[in-house]
Amino acid sequence: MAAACALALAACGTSDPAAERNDAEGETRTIEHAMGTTEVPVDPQRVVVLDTDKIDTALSLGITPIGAARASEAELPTYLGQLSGVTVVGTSAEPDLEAIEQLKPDLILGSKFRQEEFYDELDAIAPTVFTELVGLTWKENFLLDGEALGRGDTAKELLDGYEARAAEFGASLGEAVSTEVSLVRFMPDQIRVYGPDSFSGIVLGDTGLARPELQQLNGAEDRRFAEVSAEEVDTLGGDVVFYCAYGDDGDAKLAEYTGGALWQSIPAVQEGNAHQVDDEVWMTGIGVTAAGMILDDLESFLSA
Amino acid sequence: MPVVLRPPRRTALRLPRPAATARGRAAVCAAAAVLLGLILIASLAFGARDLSPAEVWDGLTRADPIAASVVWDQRVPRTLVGLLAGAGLAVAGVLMQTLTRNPLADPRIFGVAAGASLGVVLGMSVLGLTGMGQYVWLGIAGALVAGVVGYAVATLANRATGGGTATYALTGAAIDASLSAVVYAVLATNVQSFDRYRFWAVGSLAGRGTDVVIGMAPFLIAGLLLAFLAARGLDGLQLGAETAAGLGHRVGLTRGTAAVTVALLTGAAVAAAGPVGFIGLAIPHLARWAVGAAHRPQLALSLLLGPSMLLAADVIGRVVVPGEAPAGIICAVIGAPLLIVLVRRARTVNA
Amino acid sequence: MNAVKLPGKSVVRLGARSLTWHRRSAAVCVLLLAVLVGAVIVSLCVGHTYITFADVVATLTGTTGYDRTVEVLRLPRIVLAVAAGAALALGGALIQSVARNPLASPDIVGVTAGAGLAATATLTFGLGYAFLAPSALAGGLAAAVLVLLVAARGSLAAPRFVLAGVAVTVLLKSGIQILLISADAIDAQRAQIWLIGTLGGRGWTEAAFLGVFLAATLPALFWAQRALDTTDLDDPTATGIGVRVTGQRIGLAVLGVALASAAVSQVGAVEFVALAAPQIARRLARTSRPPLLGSALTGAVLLVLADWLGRTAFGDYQMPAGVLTAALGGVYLLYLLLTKGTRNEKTTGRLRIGGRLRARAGRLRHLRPGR
Repeated sequence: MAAACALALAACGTSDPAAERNDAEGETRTIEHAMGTTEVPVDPQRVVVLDTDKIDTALSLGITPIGAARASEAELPTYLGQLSGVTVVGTSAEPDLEAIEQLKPDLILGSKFRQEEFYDELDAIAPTVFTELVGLTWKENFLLDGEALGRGDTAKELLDGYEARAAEFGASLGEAVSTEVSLVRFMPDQIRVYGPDSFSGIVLGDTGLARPELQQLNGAEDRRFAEVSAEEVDTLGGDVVFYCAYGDDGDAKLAEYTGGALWQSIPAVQEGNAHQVDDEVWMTGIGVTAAGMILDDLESFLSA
Repeated sequence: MPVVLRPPRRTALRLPRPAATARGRAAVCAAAAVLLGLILIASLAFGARDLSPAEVWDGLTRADPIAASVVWDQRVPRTLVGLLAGAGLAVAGVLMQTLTRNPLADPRIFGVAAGASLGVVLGMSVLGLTGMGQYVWLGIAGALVAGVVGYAVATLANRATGGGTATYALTGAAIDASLSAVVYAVLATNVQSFDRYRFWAVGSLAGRGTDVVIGMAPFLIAGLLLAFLAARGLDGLQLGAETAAGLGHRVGLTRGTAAVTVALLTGAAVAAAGPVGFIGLAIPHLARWAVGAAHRPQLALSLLLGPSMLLAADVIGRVVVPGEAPAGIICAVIGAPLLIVLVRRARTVNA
Repeated sequence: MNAVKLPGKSVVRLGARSLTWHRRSAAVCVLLLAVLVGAVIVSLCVGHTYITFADVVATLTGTTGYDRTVEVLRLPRIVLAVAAGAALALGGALIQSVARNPLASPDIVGVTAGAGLAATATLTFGLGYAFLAPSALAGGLAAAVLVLLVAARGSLAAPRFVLAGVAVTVLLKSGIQILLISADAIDAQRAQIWLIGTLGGRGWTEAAFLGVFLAATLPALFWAQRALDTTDLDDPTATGIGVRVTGQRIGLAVLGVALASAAVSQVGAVEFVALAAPQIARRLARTSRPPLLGSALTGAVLLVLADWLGRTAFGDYQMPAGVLTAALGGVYLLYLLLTKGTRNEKTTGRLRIGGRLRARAGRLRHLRPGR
């Protein structure tokens, strides 16, 4: 029996019996979140995150998660630097529960929007805190996740710092703050402009920079983004255009369209005010660190 | 007691047939050609961007660079893709309905399009092929394998248990379901966006460029030529394999040619436009009603009506629906009622 | 199926045949049960963490360090897989018997697609997870009614129901695609995973629902077994005898649709278990119609194994069970091709003593070159 156990251990590499749910032996705090209230350890050390925005959150607060779920069509984001120490625990849509369990986390962060059906199992593994949504409410999510991570004050400071920096940058532009900024993303099958409720749209809003009227998506139910026909690429508007592409197929579209006569006829393009930016930072990232990097981009492209 | 739908050689619709004479058939084909011409013009003239006829003309003649970009980069390639894919799917439908003697036969319903999809998806995500010219081969191979396997399974199952039309339809549905799941598995495990797939899977002409036209054209033209070469043999096949053999037709050769042709047409059309449904179902029935069951006129009329349906669907999607509805959706909305009518008309007979 | 056709001889032949049936069917059921137990044990033991059988037993009877892995993560899924696999297979067996077509099954004739359309609508309109299962259940049943409406034209000819089912499936799948492309990307992805069918994140709630459902239908299943054993469901006979048989056929179909809908509502649109399991069981038991108990056991084995492979065999990716069952469906179709279709259905009717030998000789003949 012991031999069999030893063999199994050797074969699988990792297998010592997991303890009961890793409820912190020490002090706990109560967190209210999308799925109710949960007792979490005061200072969680082994955190598993189930979405890319929460990787940003944890790293921004100085905590390297031990496990993270990747988006189903990509690897872990690269803009956050070296993540080789982070174990991939399946995808955001289908997290690998046993892999998470094996990491023996003391806190799991996810969202009701994406992982609602997994909550019971996750909560049985470790205290689990869910935000309601991803994306749109990123600031609230950041504060809630920060609270759960035991760094609520730091989170508040970081967020305030970011907002102050954004406002300051906007003020430093003076008159130029009325520059209309256009956000374009090339998807494999469509071209999108991003509105005020998208992540990068929120960051632009914080700086006070203006947006072209079409991209304000006034009256639209979903003010995150809208599709633009390939025939009307030249009607995007904006004094400055930031554009990026989603994945390899998006890159191909980007190359195809930005080489075309329509794109070249855009005034901002002709004046050299169209800049390609990192899709991971501006679109898929989401978080204080990504927001800071967007501000970096804005400073380098607009202040000059 | 198998159920038979009305065999293909009878008309699907109980309306008087307009063209019983050779002259009548020619007139119908001429009318269809005019219709196609009008739809081609509409496809070049209408789009998300409002261009006046004069501007479109300036674009065609490259007098106006902006209009030229819209017309030559967007509208001409997608119109050509629609022309070729529509013709291919409609003609493939004619061949499949004759081959299986089954009026429900259609590249999509019988799983052939799913085979082509799997081939294309494998090519793109596993082999990393990017150009249409590269993965069109895999689309054709996938269509061929799915079609041949489906046909063989259905024929054998039918021989053993009867069931006729129902068995063919079930086999196709089963193959379609199985292959679709494999497509999902391939997409899910690879660095490939599912986002793209869901748009491609309904069938659409949006964003198709000149490279797609060049990639698909040789196969479609070859397929269409083969279809016309096989027309006489197919006429024989319609009488039943034994009768056809008795009349001196080379049944095996005809069947083989038709199968390869279906694969060429479906594979290339699906690789270019995605698995657009219902064209291969609706157009052959319409053509058969209009010009009768002889294959030459039926193929000729399908060749004209198929692109008309696909391009009309594309124009409707571009103009009527805000933000462009894919042509595949519009085709489904048009074609779905016909499918119900065909099923409702199925009769049970004592065999 | 032909046995009951000659009323004079039917009793004797049926008696003799039913004896052989029962003997072989019973043996097959015992065998399948053993395989199922084996699959469950493997599923309980092998995962990211390997847990010895002894430890599993200790965990189930008492408390060990593996409590969470076994009792929270593995056991509920396995129980659900057993229940859902059995329910799907029973639904398939009933519908195949009524339609008298080995390819007819809930996934092909509309039920699964109806449930899928309802579930996709629920997910893409953001109605919340709580509505998912009820709406899927309702969708499956509604699709069956739709098939009935399309097919009903005076008589109850089975093949037309099959055709109507295929047509309705095509329509519903088009509807699903319309919803998928108009939805938000993340919603669409969630819906797509549901459409493939997965046991990930499912637990005791779903398992309990299906367990209770199966228990509640148990009397109906006994009735169905008797109805299948004693009645010829042939179309001409049905027309001849009239109402009673027609009523029975409708009852069997309703039961089959309900079982399949219930299973699909809990685990998503898992394909091909309902199609393949009854036929595998039928071939094992060499009966003319899918045996109910054998089908249920086969279905359970298939889904347990598919789920286990899906969560262990693809690295960090959790492959939905539905992908594996669908791939299996492809293999099953090829198998149909290689074994000369569904020949058995015709020959078993004539099997008497020694019939098995003759059947075997027949099969050998098929293997001879040139055939």
